[in-house]
Amino acid sequence: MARVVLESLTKHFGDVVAIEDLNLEIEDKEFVTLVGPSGCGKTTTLRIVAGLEKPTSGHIFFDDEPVEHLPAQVRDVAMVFQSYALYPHMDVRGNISFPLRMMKTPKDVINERVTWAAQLLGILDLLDRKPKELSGGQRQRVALARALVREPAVFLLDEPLSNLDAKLRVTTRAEIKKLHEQLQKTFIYVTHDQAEALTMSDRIAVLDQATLQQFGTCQAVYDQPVNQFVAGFLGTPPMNFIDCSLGACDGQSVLRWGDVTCPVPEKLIGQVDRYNPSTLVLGVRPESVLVQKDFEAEGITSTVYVVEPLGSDQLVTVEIGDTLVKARMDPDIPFSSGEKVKVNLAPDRLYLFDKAGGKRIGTTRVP
Amino acid sequence: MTRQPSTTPLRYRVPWKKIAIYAMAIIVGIYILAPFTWLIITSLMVEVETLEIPPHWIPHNPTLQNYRAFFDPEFRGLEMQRGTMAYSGGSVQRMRPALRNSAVVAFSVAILNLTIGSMAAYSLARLRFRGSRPLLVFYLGSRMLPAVSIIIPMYMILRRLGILDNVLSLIISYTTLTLPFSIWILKSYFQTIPRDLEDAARVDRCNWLNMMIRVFLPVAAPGLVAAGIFSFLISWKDFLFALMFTATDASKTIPVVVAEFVGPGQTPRTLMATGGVLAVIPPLILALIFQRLIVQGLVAGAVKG
Repeated sequence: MARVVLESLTKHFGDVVAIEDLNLEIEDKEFVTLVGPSGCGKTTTLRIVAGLEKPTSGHIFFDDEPVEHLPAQVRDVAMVFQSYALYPHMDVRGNISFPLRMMKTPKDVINERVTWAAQLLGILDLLDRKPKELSGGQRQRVALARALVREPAVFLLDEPLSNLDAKLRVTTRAEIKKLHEQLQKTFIYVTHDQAEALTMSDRIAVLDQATLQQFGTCQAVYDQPVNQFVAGFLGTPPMNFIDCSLGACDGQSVLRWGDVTCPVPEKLIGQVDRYNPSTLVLGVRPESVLVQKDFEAEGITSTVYVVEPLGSDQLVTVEIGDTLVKARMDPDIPFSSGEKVKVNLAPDRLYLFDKAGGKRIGTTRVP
Repeated sequence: MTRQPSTTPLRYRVPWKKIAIYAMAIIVGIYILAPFTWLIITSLMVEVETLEIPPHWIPHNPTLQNYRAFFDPEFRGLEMQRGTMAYSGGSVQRMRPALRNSAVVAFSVAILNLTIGSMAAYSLARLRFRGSRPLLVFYLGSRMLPAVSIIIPMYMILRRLGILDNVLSLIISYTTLTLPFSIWILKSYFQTIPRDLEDAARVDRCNWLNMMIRVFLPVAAPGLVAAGIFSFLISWKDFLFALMFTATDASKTIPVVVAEFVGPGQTPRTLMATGGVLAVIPPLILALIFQRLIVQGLVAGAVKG
């Protein structure tokens, strides 16, 4: 069992606030990712859970036992570092067996566990090599093996894929996810890559500027972001944001930007009234924007700004008023820069944010 | 369409820069190695041959009798009676205790430098505390004082402590001289060791001492070797402090004893040269064994800063 609870966790480095009042409950065997931009406090949080840093205030519980006063060497955690932190003077076998030797494990048990971990990660033939003789991907596997052999209650992974090339990152992502399913242990993963977070996690915690923005399942956080930051951080390419204001046209509430008007979805009409009508932000994901070549069709008149083919689809950037909006379109429809088109924003996939605080006012997206 | 071969002659550019660099390297190499080579050659000559004019590099009758004289007192006595070996004023007999004293002093200083220096360097490299930078500057700045300016106060302190003419006086003096440089070398090297290694060791169930012994210090080996060899060599070759603080065979080191070969009315050049060669052998062996680690240890901090 390894349920991890962070209660009112705060960490200051002098005048710098690294984490502010973080509350998180991670269930046993769950794969939770802390995601956010650089400097948001995710690595500091992980280091505090590992015992490498002491919190300024707050508590950490492992299965309801407080552990914030315990040093790293007695917490039942294993950590994989971004730089792998392999001991350069030991061979792979020495690196993997190191924690077991520190725990005074009998030699035969050590050999058995090292062989098991090496076999699981496909590095049995590398046991006699030194870290400098290994590729990046091999080093990463050795670091994982070193964490595995201890059978800890909690696995902590600090951006373990960031030093790998794009192709290796994708394959290793799947392997780590598979490892989690096989081991049935609690994983706490840190990354700045939202794609990694979405593909690997049971739940994700989005952090920004030392505070927790949102914690929930990947789909919930993606479909129901609580604020503009979360909405813009998740998704590739990111959500389109259009600065607009509330107006009226023919007795109907509309959103205006430039000379473009767009009717306010019925679902949002009641919620908008509580906010400043001149500082609204309309959010729509690229996959919810439809660009039509047929100029006679219904929709907002716009011009194609640039087309980016991606192979499996294409990104078409259109100018709507004075705002550029990206749309993810079928690659077989030929678009060209400067072409006049009609654009539709899917009415059941719109978000409205308050520009002042970034808070989400409402969404037409059904949870 | 086939291309016709060019009829323009190839221009060969003389690599003047490379030639100049090699020439400089040869000149500097000769400048450094010539005195040592002369020392070895002289140690293989008989005394009378050293007085020949013009002097020559290749001995007419190379001999190992000078080396034998250092380890065989009977042989030395016979050769002196025959007049084939110069009188050394007792310096040859003092070489063995001097070698022992030099070894004891140099190794002790090296060990103290590594022990104290590594702890100080670790604090300066890893811990954030107010005044760490001024402290480091002070350590180095204190060494900018010429040794001769502090020799009298040191003499008085050592005399008060009652350890003059004792190897302990040299150990304390040389450790004082070399520790600032060792701290500087080690601090620079320690800063190149990723902190993640220590964090990984802590997560892997190591307490601080275990982490230092099993992870940090082995990784820091090049820096430790560089600092150790540096302090060893300084202690081995120092003459001024040894001359001032020693009086008898109980504490005299090699540089002092070799200087005593020059006596009133005598300068046994061959024996002196042989003493010099014997004195150089231990540090030379150490330097050859550890040369790769020495270079690694000295330059590691230079690239990353």
